[in-house]
Amino acid sequence: MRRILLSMGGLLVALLAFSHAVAPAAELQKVRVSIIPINDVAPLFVAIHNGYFKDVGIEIDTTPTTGGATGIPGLVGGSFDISYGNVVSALLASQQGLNVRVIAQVTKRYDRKTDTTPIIVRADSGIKSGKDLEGKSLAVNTRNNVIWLYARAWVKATGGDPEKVTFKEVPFPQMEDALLQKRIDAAFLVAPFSIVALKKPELTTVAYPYSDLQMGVNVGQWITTTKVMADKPEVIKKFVAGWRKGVEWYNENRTNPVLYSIITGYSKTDASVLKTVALEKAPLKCDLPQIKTTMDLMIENKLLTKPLDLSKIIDPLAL
Amino acid sequence: MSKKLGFDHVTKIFGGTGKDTGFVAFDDITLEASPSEFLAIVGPSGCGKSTLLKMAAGLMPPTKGKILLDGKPVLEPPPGVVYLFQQYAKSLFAWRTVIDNVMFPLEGTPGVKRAELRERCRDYLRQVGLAEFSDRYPWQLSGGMQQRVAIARALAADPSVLLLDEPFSAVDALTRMELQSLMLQLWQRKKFTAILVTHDVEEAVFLADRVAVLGAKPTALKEIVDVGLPRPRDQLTTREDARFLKLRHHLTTSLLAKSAEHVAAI
Amino acid sequence: MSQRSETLNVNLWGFVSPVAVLCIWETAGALGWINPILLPRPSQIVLSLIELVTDGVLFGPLLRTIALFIVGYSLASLIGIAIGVAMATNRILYGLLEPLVECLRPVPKSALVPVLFLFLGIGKVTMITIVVLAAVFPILISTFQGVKSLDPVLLETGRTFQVSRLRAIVSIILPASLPMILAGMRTALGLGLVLVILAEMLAGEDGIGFRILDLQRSFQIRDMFAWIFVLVALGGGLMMLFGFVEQRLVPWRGKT
Repeated sequence: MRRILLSMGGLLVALLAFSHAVAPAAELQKVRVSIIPINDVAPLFVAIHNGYFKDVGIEIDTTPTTGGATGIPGLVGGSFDISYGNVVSALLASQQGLNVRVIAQVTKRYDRKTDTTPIIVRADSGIKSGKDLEGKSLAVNTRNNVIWLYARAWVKATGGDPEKVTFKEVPFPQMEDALLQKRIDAAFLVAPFSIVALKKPELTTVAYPYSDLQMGVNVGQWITTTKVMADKPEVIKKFVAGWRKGVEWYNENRTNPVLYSIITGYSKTDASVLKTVALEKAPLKCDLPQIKTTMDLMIENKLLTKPLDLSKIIDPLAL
Repeated sequence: MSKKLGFDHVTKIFGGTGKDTGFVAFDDITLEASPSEFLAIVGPSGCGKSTLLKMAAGLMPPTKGKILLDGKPVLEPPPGVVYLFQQYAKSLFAWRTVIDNVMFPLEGTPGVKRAELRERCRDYLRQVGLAEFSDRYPWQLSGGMQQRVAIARALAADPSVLLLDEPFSAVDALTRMELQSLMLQLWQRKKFTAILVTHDVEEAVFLADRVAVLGAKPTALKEIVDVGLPRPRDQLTTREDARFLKLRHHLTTSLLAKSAEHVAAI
Repeated sequence: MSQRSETLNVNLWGFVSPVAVLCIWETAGALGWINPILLPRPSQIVLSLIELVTDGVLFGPLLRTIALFIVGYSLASLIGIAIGVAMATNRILYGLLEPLVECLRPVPKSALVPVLFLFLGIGKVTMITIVVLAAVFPILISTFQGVKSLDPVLLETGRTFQVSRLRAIVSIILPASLPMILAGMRTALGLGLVLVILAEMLAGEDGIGFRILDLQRSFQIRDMFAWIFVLVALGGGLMMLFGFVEQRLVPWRGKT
């Protein structure tokens, strides 16, 4: 018995030594990033694919989540270095004293023609306004985030009472099925899932809340914590630099088949549909005035009790 | 005398159909009890006396032969026949009070008010000496008292035949004597047919009109003895009677001889 | 009566360990050993809890959760006991149902939730079904085992008094199996509550589970914990209530 234990111990030590020897001695630093598998993060995967991160010595390890409201807890808990989140979740976290920092803007609404974030319903449902949604259900990826906030704002703007609408949480990839199977009456989708869903004749668009309410709104963002920024400042700078290069390539190559195959890879949807729409431009920096407008909307909807000091939340890197 | 309950060439084999394949509990037993008779059946342990009684109760069918009650074959537990269990504690309903236990056979009697039925049960409890314990639960009573509840419950069913399966073997000697006297009182008052199964020869002789002796492996009826002692029986004087002692001697020898034979056979 | 004080003593001792945990937690927080944002101190949580009460926000969701639980649990009890008795007393039914029961029983019911959403939609019916599915199996199994392990003397006693099958089930089998049935129902209590909360988180429109998730989404950790405390109190309260009921229903347990 003792001999077996000794030999197992020896084997273990040997394995550890071997793995240490084989691991590239601190050559590529791992960065753990939580993402949502949607179009918004395509430039990230472009940057990974084109080696922009490897060139500066970091390796991106991605984990999918359902949204910023789920990614940020992981970030705060230390499971991630950077999380894809949204402006609303970031401000809510700051309000509660969780020291988050926005390091880069990811999405922004530029033009209604390239807006791929509609509210979709079944064609035969007859829903055309927020008033029609009273007593019915609308799917959002998570509650208390930017999608939820602007859905409520749209309901109000089109004559409905958001308190009379039931908001159900459904992950983006499952929204189409949930709609078709009548588990929900409406869904606020993002690309590529919105594009795929609209190929079905049974589904139709009701509105583009972001474009209708606040053109230029800053939606998605890369978020990290003050702790990570203090511990790994160089890594963060390299991430943002690599990300920006990815954005630039993305903006130039929005009809490139290579892009489509990259998006298919991480979102697991059919790339061919992406050819049929014009993809939106990705931003290179945050717009503080836009974020301030969103903040006011949050205060109006009682998500925030008072305005926050944006200079403490939006890092100079993002501007 | 017409017979009340009779065993007509009754054979019981467990596990198998033939005498060679299964365990023969008893073989070709013919025995009968007359109305209002007190019949005792004695035999060594494991000779199948309880099985015999269960068949009389309709709880188990014979493999061959039949049990007849008033001339009709017994296939199911017949009305008017009550089996009193050896393990009275397990037979009483722990979730019911004493009086509710006694009420059990009477519940659902059509045309009679519940209050009247309860009064009848109280009377039965009085007859067994447990009137003040009506509202207790079985687990609050001693072994002897629990057996008396079981007897009261059996009485409530107004049986024409009462089958007693070693009912007093699990209590101490003094309680046993009290219960035996109680049983005789009730039997004399109600005049039901009583068939008692016991391994206690003295108990059999004390209580019964006749004693049937079963032999062991294969169990068969060895002999039936007339007790012939005067009634009412008394725990002291009857037990010192010369005939009592003679019967006791004879029956015990009969039983022991069987055991000796049994030992010799191994 | 000594019986009553016995029960009381046991209950008092039961409070000691949770109180000890709370004290350690509070001290750790006060000494700065834990991040107050991620894990607030019990004293702060209690303050949030008091706010919930004074704002009148507590009772709506609490009653909703309790209502969902009661409906699901009652249905599960009725179905579990009925099927358990049926399977134990009827060979054919047993043969038909046993494979189904054995397949479904070991599956953690939370795993069945997505399937149920697909087939039944995301509404109240589905939520009740989830709770019923979670709670029915312990009750069914305990009932079945309780009936099966009944002393045959009890059943033969019934037979010698010529009781009908129905009367045997109602007056003998059910009361005699009650201790085992209640044991199953006790297990089902915890399981049912867990799945009520899960169902509320995934598909509810309000209730304790819904609130906990919602507050987590907006990072209001302290209020989230306040609701968690409410949930713990609810679970503990239900267990205590169950204990009292059990004592009254089966006073003979362990005493024959």
